[in-house]
Amino acid sequence: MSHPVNVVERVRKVLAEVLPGELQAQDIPEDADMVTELGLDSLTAIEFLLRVEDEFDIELDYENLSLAQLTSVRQFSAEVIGRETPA
Amino acid sequence: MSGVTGTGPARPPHRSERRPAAAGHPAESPPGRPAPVRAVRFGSFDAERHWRPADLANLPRLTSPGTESLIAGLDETLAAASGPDDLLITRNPLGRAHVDALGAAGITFRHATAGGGPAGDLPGGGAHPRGADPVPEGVEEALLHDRALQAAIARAEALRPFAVLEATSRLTHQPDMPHALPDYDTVVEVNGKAWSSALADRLGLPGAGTVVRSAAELQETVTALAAAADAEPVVLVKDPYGVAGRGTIELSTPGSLARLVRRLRAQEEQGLRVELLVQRRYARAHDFSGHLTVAPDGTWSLLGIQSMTNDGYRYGVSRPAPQDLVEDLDRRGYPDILEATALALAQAGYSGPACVDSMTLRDGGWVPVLEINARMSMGLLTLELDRRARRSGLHAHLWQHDVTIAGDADIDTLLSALDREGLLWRGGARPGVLPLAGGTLCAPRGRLVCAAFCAAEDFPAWRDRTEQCARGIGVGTLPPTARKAVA
Repeated sequence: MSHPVNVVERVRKVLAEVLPGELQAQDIPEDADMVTELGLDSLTAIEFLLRVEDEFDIELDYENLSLAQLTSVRQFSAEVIGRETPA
Repeated sequence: MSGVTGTGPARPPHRSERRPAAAGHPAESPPGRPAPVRAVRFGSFDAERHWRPADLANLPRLTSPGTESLIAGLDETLAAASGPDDLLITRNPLGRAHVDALGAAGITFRHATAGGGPAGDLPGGGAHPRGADPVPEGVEEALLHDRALQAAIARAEALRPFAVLEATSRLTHQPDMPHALPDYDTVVEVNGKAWSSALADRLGLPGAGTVVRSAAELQETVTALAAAADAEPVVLVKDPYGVAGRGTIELSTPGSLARLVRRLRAQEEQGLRVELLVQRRYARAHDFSGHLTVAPDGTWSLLGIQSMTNDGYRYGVSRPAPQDLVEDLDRRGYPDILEATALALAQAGYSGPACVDSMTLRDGGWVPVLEINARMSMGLLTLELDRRARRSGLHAHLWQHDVTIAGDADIDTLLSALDREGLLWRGGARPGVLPLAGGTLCAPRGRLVCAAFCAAEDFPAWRDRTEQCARGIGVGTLPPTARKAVA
């Protein structure tokens, strides 16, 4: 199991890769809403989640995921990644 | 019941400030001898969702609350193609201020609302909860229950739907309906990526993808493509009815391929069938689209070529293709390819508008038929707007951005703000902008769909001024630091 802080850092790194613009991982606030504040939408969210799967070698349950669940990096790291079992 | 504008039900509170337009219902024309309706325009903008067979396996996807109501508002943009004797039927009422702004810019039309709008679907006209999808059916289904509008459609000279859906087809089979549309199954077939890919292959065009029909075939094909790639082993997997980036995923690692194959195998075991298009990811230089129309007798016309700026795989901006691109495409033989495409569509039994998405590549190559949208398109709407703008020596540029919407911001407040700033286009030679859809501006997230009428080099400035003005009333495009330059 990854250390929680490390998980957050890795999620921020993945998010920086998919968000439009030149955002650096360290510039993404842990508590910023990924959808309403950072601009993640249903298209970039899929790209983000697929890369998260790659980064953490997990399989997300898309049937039970919605854009509404992509709130902050901190919440996503704890509630979505934290409950997934490594593949 | 038809939601006749001017007498329709109130909107939900978060949009109720939009006073309904008082444009006449076709059955309520002014006294005298009204001109006959030339063309009836309507249609759902999520045609691909309707066309997609239910037994197809899915790529990973996310549900996005509110998307359906946002897309339902896009039909307002069909005003761009409407003339004074056309009847535009929208799913929701149009705001009075929006109709006035369009009219001031010379975009006049008759209007009616199908189905009474979302408030009419709720007891007491109450508000839909935020984030819910308040539109249970498209405009086509609403028309199937609207005898008054069916009669108006039957009297019109022509039917010009955005796309032919199953419900559109049923509408034309109503008693006394004189309009013929292409067979629904044909429309579904030619809009699938399997059809356009097979056409590109048959014409010997570069960039034709490979259609795979099982998880095992996907694994084999992607592995072979990745192995053949030199420096960028990224492969795109596309849903046959995906559109504007929806239903396209990139595979760049063995792990992502393995996960996708596992997901598809699980769906195969549940009885779903796999149909996906596999393509190399190309380093594109320029996105563009060819627009044509096929007549029922099989003749065709080239309507124009549009330059596109996509944001990722999603549509961002369309505008007239610059002359150097047109000349380059002439040299490459693009007109001949469009003709071959039109003839293939006609041979398949399709008639109506079509958009051929294409691109040139950084290495000098090109993909002349990336996909075919046998329906109306944003690019074609831009051409219609450009036709109006050229009379005044301007060009039309259509763009859209997803936006966050705060408080009570809506189309009325946006129009007022644009007017105050002197940004609204009033027709004529003075440049300006015009919002094309009000129903997409619904909190908390919506879509800003606008056209700028100006010289090509001035477009970025007009877009920036518009979005700055919109931010001032709470219609927020992403902060500049989080946006790609789309100029």
